[in-house]
Amino acid sequence: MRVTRLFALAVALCLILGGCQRTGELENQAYVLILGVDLLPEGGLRLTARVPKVGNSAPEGDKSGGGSKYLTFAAEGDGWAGAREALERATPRPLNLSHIVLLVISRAAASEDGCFDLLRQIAETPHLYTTARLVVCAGDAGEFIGGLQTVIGTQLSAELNAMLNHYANEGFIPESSLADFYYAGGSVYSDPVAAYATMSTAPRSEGADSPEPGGSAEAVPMQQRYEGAALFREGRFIGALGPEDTRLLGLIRGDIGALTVDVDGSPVELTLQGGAKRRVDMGEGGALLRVDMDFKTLDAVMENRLQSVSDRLRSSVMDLIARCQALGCEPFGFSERAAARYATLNDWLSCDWRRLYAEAGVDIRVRMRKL
Amino acid sequence: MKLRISPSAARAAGFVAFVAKAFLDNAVTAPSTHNGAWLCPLLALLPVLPWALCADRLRRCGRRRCGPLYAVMLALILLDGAENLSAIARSAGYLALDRVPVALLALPVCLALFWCLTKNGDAVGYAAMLWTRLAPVLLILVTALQFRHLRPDWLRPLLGSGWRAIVSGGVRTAGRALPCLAPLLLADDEAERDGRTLGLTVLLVLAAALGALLLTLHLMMTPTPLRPTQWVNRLDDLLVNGRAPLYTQLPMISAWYAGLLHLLLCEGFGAAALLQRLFPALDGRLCSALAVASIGAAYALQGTFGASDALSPWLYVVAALITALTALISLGKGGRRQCA
Repeated sequence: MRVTRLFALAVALCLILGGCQRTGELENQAYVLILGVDLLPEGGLRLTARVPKVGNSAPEGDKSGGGSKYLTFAAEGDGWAGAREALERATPRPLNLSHIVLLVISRAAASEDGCFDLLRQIAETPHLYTTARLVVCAGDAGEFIGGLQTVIGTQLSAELNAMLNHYANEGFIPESSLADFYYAGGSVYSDPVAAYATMSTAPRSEGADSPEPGGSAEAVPMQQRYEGAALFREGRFIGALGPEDTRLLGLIRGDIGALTVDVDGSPVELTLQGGAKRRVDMGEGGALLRVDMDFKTLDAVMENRLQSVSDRLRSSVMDLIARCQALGCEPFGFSERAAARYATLNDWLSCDWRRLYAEAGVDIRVRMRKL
Repeated sequence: MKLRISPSAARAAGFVAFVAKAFLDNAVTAPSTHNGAWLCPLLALLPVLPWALCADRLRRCGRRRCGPLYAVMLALILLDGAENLSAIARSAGYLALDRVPVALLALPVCLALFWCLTKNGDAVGYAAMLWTRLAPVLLILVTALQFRHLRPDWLRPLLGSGWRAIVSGGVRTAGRALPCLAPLLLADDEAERDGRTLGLTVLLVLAAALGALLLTLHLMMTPTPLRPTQWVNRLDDLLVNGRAPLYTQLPMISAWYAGLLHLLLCEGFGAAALLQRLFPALDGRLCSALAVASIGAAYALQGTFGASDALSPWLYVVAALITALTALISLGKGGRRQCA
């Protein structure tokens, strides 16, 4: 009993030693929800952070963004470490990166040779937790973030999560987080992909909210369109796929399991049975990439029309793979299949897979069944 | 107070500690840069099993002339216990208290370790037994939460960097896991209350298989050859992995901490009991305090984490040689008749 009491006392003393002087109060933290990365013309980086206001209180005398729930901070510096430090200085609270929902990198920054190293540094930042989605935006990431606002929901983080989940589930963007990019980019297998977004100056659709209070009523608000996949080769952005190709990519990768196609002006829903079966046959003549897709549909479609849909789909997949082969980018997951044919990593790395892939033949089989 | 542990409690403690050590060693302490690492715990079984059977035989023969073996095992435990303590302190620092010195974070763990040791060996063993009931629930939960992110393709090519790397990893794992099995050598038949326990061979095969399974799951989350060099990033990879939202991380973190604590507890008891066997006049509480203080001191003097990496494969060789010599001398002096 005496030992137990002594133990309890000692643990209590430890708590005092550990201290609560450094506890982080919620109100004293600047939780970054969206982080933007832009490349400066002179070579540095500009970081743009969207931070929620705690308690929704407007600063005294604030005429510009009084009613907004969010603040945007931007800072410039050399590399990730320098820019992050500058952002820390620009933000009046300790910067907390553990709740980032979206990481936006501009196309210019993603096209640089050091893109993967930069994203790797970001992903390896302690306590960033890397749960963020990664988006490559066509223009300036700062402007992209500045134009983001809630449309249906009330919280920006919930809005973004719901929206990105919706787009990913539909196959408009690939299922890719910063962690997925980080792991795939550093692996010896397929190339990573990310979501691709553009900004349009088209008027907002009917029923959408008016611009945030404080914004110029005359200005046409920016609209972000998430519709495509950013392709990478050796960690560098090399091109983007449109929404249709992104859905096909999602089907092959196993990200989505259904597709809606147009048959004589009517939408027909096709469900992929058991996912796309990818295989790589290696022979003396090189590699042969095989994809088997078995679709079924419940819709009433004539058999001959199904055959034409099947041919169209097969041709689209062939085109997509050929385009990626020409770009030298392999986002489909064939590498992992090919690696299975080798006993060790050294054997796999010495087989010159990139060349084999670029020169590989393609065999696509698409079957359609009506249930 | 005499430090005692029953054979069934010793086996439970050894089982949990072996699994935890095999995983800790291959996933975090010295992460393998190849995807064949899951074979290392299975391969470690080849050298560990004969040692464990020999230690069990020595125990049943009355542990005569075991002084040198006890001394070597004690040294190994202090070396290894310091690393385990460091792993716990760094994990605590990683999660919440990253601005508090890690030495300060080790202090509550040392106190908890001492308190547990004063409850004697069976408390340590039966706590491990309880953990074997609870851990599967947590592990199933973690696997279910992360299931859609598991990539079996990342286990290919199957042999990773080749047999040489796998054998080297297996021997290293054996060297690291040996101190966890000290309670097997110290178990006391007279203290046995239950008696229902798995055979030693089956138990160790199960432990190695479980270690391999956990490593396989970990390797399916992180592709080769991407293994971060920083301790904090290794924990990020293991506990968070960029896929688990904050609210789903609790079961993984609970399993990680509890596994580490059981590992340290098993080794702490081993150190205290070995000390008492070497110096029978010492009281159990004093031995516990000395064992905890020694592990703490070894941790404080350790310097950089992983300093004993190069030594790891040799730890097994030294312990195995001393055990074999002890067994030969013990059995050669009539021990065979005694334990027949």
